[in-house]
Amino acid sequence: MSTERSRIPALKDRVMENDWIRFLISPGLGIAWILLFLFLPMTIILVISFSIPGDYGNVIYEFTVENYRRFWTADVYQNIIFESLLYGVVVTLLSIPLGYTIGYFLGRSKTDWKWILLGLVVLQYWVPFIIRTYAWIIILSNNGVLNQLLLGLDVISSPLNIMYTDYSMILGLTVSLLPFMILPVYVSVSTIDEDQIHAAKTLGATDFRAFREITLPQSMPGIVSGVLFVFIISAGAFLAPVLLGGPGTRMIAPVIESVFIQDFNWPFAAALSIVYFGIIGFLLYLFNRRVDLEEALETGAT
Amino acid sequence: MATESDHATTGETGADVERGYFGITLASRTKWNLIRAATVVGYVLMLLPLVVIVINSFNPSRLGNFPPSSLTLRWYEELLADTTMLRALWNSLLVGISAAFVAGLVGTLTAMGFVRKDFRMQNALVIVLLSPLLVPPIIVGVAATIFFSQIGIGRSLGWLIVMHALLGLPYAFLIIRSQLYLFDETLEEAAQSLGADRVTTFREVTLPLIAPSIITAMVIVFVISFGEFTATQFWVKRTTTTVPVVIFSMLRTSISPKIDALATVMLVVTIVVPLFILGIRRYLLRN
Amino acid sequence: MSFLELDGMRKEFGDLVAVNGVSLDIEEGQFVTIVGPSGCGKSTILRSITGLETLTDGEIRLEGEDITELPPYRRNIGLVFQDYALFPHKTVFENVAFGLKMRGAPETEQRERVEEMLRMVNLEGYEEKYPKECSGGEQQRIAVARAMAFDPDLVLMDEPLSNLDKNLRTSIRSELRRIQDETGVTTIYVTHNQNEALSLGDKLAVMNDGRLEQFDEPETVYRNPQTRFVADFLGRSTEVTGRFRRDDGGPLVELDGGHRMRVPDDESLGDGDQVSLFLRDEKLKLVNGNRPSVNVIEGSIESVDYRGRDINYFIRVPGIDQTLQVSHIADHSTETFRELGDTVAMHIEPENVTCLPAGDEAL
Repeated sequence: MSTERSRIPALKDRVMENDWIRFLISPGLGIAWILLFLFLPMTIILVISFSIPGDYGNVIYEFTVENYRRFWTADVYQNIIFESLLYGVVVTLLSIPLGYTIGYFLGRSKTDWKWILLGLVVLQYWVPFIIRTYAWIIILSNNGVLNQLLLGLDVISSPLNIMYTDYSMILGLTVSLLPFMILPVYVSVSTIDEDQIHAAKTLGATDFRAFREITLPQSMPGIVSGVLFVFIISAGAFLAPVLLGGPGTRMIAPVIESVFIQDFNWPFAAALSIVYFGIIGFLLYLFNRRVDLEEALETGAT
Repeated sequence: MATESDHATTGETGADVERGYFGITLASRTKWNLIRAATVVGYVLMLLPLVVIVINSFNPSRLGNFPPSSLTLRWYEELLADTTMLRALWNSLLVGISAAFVAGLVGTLTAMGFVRKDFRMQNALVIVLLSPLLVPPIIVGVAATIFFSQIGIGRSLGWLIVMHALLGLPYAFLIIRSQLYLFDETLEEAAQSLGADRVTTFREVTLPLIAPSIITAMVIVFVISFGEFTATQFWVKRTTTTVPVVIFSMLRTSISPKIDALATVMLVVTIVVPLFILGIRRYLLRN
Repeated sequence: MSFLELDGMRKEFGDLVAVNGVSLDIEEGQFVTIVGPSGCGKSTILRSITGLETLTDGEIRLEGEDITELPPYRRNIGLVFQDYALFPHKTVFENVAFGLKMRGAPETEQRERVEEMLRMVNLEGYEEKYPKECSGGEQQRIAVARAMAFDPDLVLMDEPLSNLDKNLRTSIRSELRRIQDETGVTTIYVTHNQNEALSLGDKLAVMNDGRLEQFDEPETVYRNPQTRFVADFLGRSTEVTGRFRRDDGGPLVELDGGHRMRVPDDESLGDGDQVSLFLRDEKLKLVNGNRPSVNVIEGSIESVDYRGRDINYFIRVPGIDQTLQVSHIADHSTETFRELGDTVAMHIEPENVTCLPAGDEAL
């Protein structure tokens, strides 16, 4: 009958069943991809950061700590990194109240609108940063939407010069990154069983205390995840400072870009990158000690 | 502190359903309304920019007097005539779709390895897989540029595809893995007991059943790739330029509603198209 | 050389030894049941035979060939899963034909076979349905059809009835036996249910804690337990004979001495069939107070075996040869003791009566 089959293990069976080969593909393939195209380049720029810049982006492979020395001695670069982190903190702090409120609203609300609203937030993720940032130019510039509106309503007599300042950048960043705070908070708030809060209220808790004792602690994972993403993205942001910020706003990403592209100084750009990444990495390490990093990443990313 | 008036009850309305636990006390209702107000503000802030862009793309005035006095399609026409932009659009689409496939493929294979058996180092490896999310894109851009130039590979679309797949891989991995967790292993065992070898089992049983998540993952990777700028700006040359890069350079040189037109097109691509695909996917799932 | 030889099977999961040196020989065409409590390793044995688990030690030989190292898809063994594991995205036809498709059978042959199999499990016409459109009992039969469609050398069933409700269980149980009779395929059936174990197989293997306790014909195992575990596990029963009948109230057995007892239904039994009833000692209960409406037998206590917590009463019932042994757990505070010569009434729930065809080749 045609259903007879040989019981001799074929060669391809040996291959398919081999544990090592299977590990190589799965998860090996993904890991290899990351190692090859992320870790390896990072290692190379580490090496390069100890090299000498040649002309037009060439690199001379001689060991030097000049780049780091330059960073260390020139206050300028240290300040830039410090300011970047500071702005990161500011944006994060600003985004927490509004982001949490919206996430909370979505998490507790029961209307049918909820899904549409949620969808709108998810949609925000899909709008490229460049567009979100550019939109603020239109709104905040001197003949932009905001000014036209305020002028038209006679609230002000001459246009507000808020474009190309720290404030416009902070505003742009905060609003752009709101979804990163809203969704994780929504996820963690929505998993809180409402009955817990009802129970707390029957036990005498006011709205506020019930919130503080029950909801807030359990929504911490969401907040933590949101903070993680908002901070890292805003401190290392490129578009917002460049498009919305003024000449006085100096953030690390545009600086790295100018050193890299305009000065053609690859080693120094590499050094700056390494330093900045080192700081971020260190902060992440500290972060990881108090919070499960993997969990936070996953909550935020999905 | 709760007072008498806090607990004064008022009649239930339809809106009460919406409020969840806040119940029906007067003070509670005020608080909820405040929250609602804040939410509205938030949404206005988030959505207003987009609305503005779309409307402005029809603005005949070059300097962007807002709101526009009349509407014109002039900018879209210019767009269609501009070969640089058309090429950028084509590149972005090509790279986006390719990166989606690559990330989908690699993501699926990778996720399968994490769901089967627990093995040591699993957590560490997951963090490795998620690391592209943590490295600021500017650094990824610089690092990759230096890397490729040092090993002698010139800028190309392939380069873009590879790197965009890298950036999208964490998302693809997470999405597919989460559906794999729900997948019933015994189905694969049944297939094997019936004579399907591992590859066949994957093709006949596993793949069809996790296809929805793979599609979702691919859509996400496409969206990410299409809108990626910060790292990509270092990776393109004139012929491989992408839409975000073009928009950026236009912003530096000449501001006109043409940008809005391109941005609107971009919005359409990154929102409407994925929604459409997801809608198809949901429709297929029903059957 | 037997058809299937399990030789010193051993499977470890880290520190846990799931299967500890089990050896069994099974002849072609036999229906073998493996019974044991949860965790005794019976499922592991099944999965090892199929190849879904790899043995830590030992060999499996099928028709003399060593298949221990073969991956599952080369073994030609059908497995019916406990939760059926039907492919939800494929039709019933595609499910049942899957094994054939894997072996390259042409479409015409697939169609023929599937039709044949569906007819055999009484599911004709179900080809285009999807598993989720079918009931639990139907899904179970599809799973059986699928496992047998490609003419395997061996069919394994992993507690296939445990997800079904009681009535379905008994009816499908006899169907399975019938199918096996018709096709003659060697079958290993795993269960934790003793009724199934005793009534289904040609041979019965009792397992406990990874070890094989006894492997023999069910009646032998039941009557002559070789180990304490088997004795405890299968219990002591009194056997009485009678004839099977059905009336308005359902199936019943007329005992030779004139008593009538309600028994669980069995499709394979017809009116007038000779049967043996096994009345377990712990299932026979002394009637105290409310008198149940069925299965009450009166007799007098012939002897008492007092063991502290348990008391074994041996009760002489007119019309029944042996004394019925009743194992009784005494509540010392509330009851009064029965004494020799007391008249008592005993009751056993119909579902607790084991009813087997007398002198059937199954035993």
